Amino acid sequence: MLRVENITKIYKLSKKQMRLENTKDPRKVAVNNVSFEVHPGEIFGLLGPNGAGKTTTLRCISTLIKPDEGDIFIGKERISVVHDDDKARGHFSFLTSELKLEDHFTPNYLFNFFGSLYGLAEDQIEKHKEKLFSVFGINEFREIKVKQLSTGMKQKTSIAISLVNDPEIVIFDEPTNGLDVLTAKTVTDYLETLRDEGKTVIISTHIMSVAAKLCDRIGVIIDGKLRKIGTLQQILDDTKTNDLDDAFFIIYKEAHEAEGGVI
Amino acid sequence: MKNIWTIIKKELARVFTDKGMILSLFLIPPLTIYLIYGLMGMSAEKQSEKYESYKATVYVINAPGEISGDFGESIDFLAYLDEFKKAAEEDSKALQFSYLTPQNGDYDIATLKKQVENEELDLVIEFPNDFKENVINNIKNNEIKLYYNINNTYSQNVYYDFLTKLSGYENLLAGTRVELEKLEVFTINDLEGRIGDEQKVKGTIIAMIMPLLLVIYLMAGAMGVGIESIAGEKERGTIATLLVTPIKRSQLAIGKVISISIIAVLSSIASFIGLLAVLPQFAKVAEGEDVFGGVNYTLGHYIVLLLIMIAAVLFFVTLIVIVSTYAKSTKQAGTLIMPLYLVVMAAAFLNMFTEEISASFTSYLIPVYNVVIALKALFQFELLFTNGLITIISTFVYTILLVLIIQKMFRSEKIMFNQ
Repeated sequence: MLRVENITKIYKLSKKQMRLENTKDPRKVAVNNVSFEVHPGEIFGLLGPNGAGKTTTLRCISTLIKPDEGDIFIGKERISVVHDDDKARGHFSFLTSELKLEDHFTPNYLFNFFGSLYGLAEDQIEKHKEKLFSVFGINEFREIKVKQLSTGMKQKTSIAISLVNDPEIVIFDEPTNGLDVLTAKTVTDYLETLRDEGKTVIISTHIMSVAAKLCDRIGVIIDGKLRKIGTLQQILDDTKTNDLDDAFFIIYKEAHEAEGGVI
Repeated sequence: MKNIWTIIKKELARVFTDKGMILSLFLIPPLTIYLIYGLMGMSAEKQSEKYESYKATVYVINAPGEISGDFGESIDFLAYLDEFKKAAEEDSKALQFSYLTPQNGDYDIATLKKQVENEELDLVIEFPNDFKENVINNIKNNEIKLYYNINNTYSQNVYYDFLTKLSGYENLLAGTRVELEKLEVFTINDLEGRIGDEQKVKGTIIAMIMPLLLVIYLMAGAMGVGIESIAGEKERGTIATLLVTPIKRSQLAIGKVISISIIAVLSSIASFIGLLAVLPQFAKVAEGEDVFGGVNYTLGHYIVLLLIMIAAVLFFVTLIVIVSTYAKSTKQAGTLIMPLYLVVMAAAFLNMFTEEISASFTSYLIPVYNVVIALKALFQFELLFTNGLITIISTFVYTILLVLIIQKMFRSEKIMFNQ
């Protein structure tokens, strides 16, 4: 289980960034007092436009950055991501296009390397490798250096390696971004398999169809604030709409009206 | 510990399975050193051969004939030169020359000067008309004029050589005026006067060169791989992939430092082999002087040398890793590291020309400088145990402090994700 409690993340803008964002305030609140829970056997989707705070929230959960306020807890033992990040990292996997693989090595070498960093025994690594390489069709190119692989092959390798430790929690930033249709289908299907295996899955997306199809619950995040949270049906009912696109537009409009802004 | 080893193995595999890296770290540096120093040695050798085979032309005006006094034999200047000519035929290192004198006593000094300028003549020696009379009558200001080309090294060498010859001629003439026995006022005997350790003399030469070479090669070896290993990984986004695994930041930092150190040591050893291979070329130029032979350092010396080198390389690597971690790209890291490299070089160069060994306790606490002076003292057989120990321990302590800083930097979002 994953529990995000009132996290806030503020970035300090450089003068150049302030000019680009047309603001005189050197502080940018990327995530503002966000709280939610994701349960085992559930796919939770953070839905929002670019710059809404989705990736920042996921980076806080994955320990890459620290929230300025609030905390995130993992599992029944409530391991604090903020205070016990080394321990927390052993319980999840995080995948984003920001994270790259060293292109000098082969998928096989990298899988073994990361498995070893997660403290797995050789036979455990082999077992996980066999399963994941077969799901993502990596066996054909397992001994070819990453730099010689196509973009799709690299992405499949990244996904397989991120799951090397058979984690309780899977965090995936924009899982279908940049993937071809077939690879995207393999990935979304596997996320469903992970959910069925009882894993806690959290994804971020700006694609409505992905959220609608894949997620058991959706959190709509706009301008760093979580504006709505619930199942697809609950969101549709609350906004009195028939599809997620319309629902999102209404939530977005309400958010801007509440902030006194214009769309 | 297991994670540190995993990182080390990966870093070593990264280097040793990459032909480009092997080439740039272990083959190109020694080859470059061999070629550059070899070419320098070859050209120096050729130059010295050229000097040896060069036959100078000297023009002598008004060459004095036989001059005899009351006490010595009579001396003829041209006969005096002939003796040198004859000796030069048997000694290849002596100046080979021929001389010309004016036909029928006619000469034009302006034409001769032009010939010196045009490098047709190396030297013109103009004795005064009444040179012989002046010598016999002991007239002062008996001036011999010499003309040589200051833009021609051969002409300059001939000039210096003939200054000695003329000085010898003066002594011979002086001998014709007084009793030869009276000229010998004293003799010097230093045959058994060399007191002290001959090894230390050679050790001093080694102490002048080796700390500089060791420090520079260690630093240079660590620079390339240090920049690539951290700034390169940051640039390519691969370090973030490591940061989301359960490996502790301290383990990652230590693993990186150790692996870069191993590669840096191996790379500097490769460079050193290149240098050793080219040394005989230099020895030939230095007339067979064997600088590195005949010095017997003990096992203890080698152990201390190894410990100082390990401490130094770890310190240099941590310094480089800090810069590399701070930088946003390999290009920026390369730029930022240059001032550090210059500081290290300055410490080594400053010490190269200092004769005395620092005995001050505090000098052995100054980072980088302590390594240079300790190495220098070690090669000169003058390193005190306590000073050696202070150098090694203080350098290790500084390294640990730097590793703690690296750890902190690895935790900084601003630094690791270039925010």
